[in-house]
Amino acid sequence: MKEEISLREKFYGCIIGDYIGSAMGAAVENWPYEKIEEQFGTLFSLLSYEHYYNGWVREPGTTEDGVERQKLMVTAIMEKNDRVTAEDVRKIWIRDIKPGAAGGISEPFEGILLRMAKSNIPANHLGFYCDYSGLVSFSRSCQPIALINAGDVENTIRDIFEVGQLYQLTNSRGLKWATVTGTAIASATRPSATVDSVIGAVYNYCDQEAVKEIDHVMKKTVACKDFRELRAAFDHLYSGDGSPYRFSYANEIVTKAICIFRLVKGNLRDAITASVNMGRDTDCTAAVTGGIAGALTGAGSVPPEIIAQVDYATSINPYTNVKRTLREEADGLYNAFTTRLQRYKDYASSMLDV
Amino acid sequence: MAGENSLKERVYRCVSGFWVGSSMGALIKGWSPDKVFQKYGSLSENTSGKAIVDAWQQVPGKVTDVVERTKLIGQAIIEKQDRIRAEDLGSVWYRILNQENVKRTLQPYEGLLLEMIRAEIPAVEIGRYCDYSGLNNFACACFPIGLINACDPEHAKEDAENVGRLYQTAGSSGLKWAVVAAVAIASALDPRATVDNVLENIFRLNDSDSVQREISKVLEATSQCKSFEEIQNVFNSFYQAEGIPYAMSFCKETVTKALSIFKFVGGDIQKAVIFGTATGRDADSTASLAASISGALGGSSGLPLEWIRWADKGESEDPYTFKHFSVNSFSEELYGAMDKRIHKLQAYISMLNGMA
Repeated sequence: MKEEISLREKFYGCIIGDYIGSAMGAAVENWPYEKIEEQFGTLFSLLSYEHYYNGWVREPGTTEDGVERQKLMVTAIMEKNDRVTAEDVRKIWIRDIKPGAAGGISEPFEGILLRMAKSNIPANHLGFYCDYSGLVSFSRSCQPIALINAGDVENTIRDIFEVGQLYQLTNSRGLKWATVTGTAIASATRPSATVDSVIGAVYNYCDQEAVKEIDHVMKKTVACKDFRELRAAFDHLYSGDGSPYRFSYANEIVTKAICIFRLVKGNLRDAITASVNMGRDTDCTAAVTGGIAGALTGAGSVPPEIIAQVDYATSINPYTNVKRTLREEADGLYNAFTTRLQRYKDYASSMLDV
Repeated sequence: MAGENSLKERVYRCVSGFWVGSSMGALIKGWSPDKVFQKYGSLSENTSGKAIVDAWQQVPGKVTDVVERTKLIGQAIIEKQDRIRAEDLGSVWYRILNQENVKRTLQPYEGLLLEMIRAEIPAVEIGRYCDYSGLNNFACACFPIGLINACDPEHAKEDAENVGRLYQTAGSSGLKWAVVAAVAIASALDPRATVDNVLENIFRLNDSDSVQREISKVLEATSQCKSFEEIQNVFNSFYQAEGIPYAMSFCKETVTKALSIFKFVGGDIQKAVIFGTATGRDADSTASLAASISGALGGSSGLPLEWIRWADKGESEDPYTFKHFSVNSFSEELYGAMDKRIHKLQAYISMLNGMA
């Protein structure tokens, strides 16, 4: 009989998949897959890279802007030991984001949001002023929101619409797609979850326009046998250049992530490999796919030396706002979750008494 | 059968306090405190407020817009059988309300809000367009948010901040005061609750210095009062606004008065209704809030049955309400949703047992 993965290991798997996917994919972000193939064959290693033309050549294993975004959410969750609101995360932004982070490790537009966050604009109005609707910014960063709501899809969706307002307009496409990521992760943490049950939850709970797109792309790619066939099939659906963040729209990234997750049957290493070699926004795709796959199957398929290198890169990262190791990050969330669960138990039992 | 101080009974008392407070308060809504005194005399001489009650029972006893607003919030909770978000309430508005309902049972500006909901502006953004910041429209109607979060004031706060965005803008004083009301109800339903720890929870969960200062100031000023008239004098010294739209219906005044009355009467629901009504000005909002918090605390016997019947009769004769709810049916259905929420929570805990 197949051994059930503990919830703690599912949390760890999600963080491993997400952060390592980010670090590995970042080195080839925005490359066409032909260039990746030509240089590396199949890439599954950590490379150094530079972003934002700022002269900082990053240590192999350095994570990118999306992980910075979620580390701040993790801090908010750990400190509250509970689900969080946009206001909770805003407080952490103001306290913890280092000067120079925007354009150093985070996207330039995040510097503008931070300046607004320091004013008295309500946190859940900040997303009004983000100039990139439909961007993947929150869809690829909402993993901690799903983990603190492990197994609870409805509250995951609720919290994504709440916290996501830091980044995107209320109820906008950017947030509807984030609910797909969140739903997949929250349902993957359930006992006895399977690839089918995770995709089924997305179909049942998420915005039907998003589901329609996922369903369309899944049908178009159902015959693909490996990631090479899959990326070629995606070419007919997602392509083009010349507009801001053109590779990084939530609908493309999240749909691809669900298709890859299905192709690799939830295996984490395969999920990261396929995503990193997919071309276009490789780091975000890998972070989303890796987060979902890791939440389902744990981190066992990822070599320990890769994990150690990401931890090392974090320890010497001059821009990062948080230097926790991957285990500390996952356990911090897990401990917050168990505290929350205990609170629920106490509440339910006291209510049944009265 | 539910015991005298069971949660179910306290939910019933909370709803009855609200319905009766709204109905009786309607009698003298908008009156100055002087006019109330001239018409009905001193309450100190007759704390049962017989003159007010008698006068109330000579009129149809209709409930006011505050009950209609509350019924809409309750309907969303009853449909969801769980905590709600602004979108859930917006969906109820969208499906159930029409301009005729609004015109007859709510305030004119709510017709504008309804148009925006029909235009599919996100429900959480509608409150940005309410032209009356700081109004008590949501704060005085949000008690079902406190009920569905019974004994869970932290989530009551969270939900008031979200659902209230249909009426007031995020982070605004209107919502900070709504948090006070929702937290008060959720806290009062705790079987160990006392007047003092309900107030402590309000201060603990409130994150607005100005709200905190206001409540502290008035509680302090009324702490030595021995009679209703003394309390009324304190209120009069702080609140006399006239001449601006909804001058008597700002949260700052209504919620603070309701809390002061709740403290002064020690959670006695009957006195809370009478005193809240006798304050005049926005009497229905003040009375219904003070009485619902007192009813949730359940520290004394409930309201006279004939009062509840009178308010029920008034409610049942409203031809324009989107739906009729008696005190009993509203409390039964909300209690059912509360029960369902707890069992859902239990199922969630059971699912994760053994994994975490």
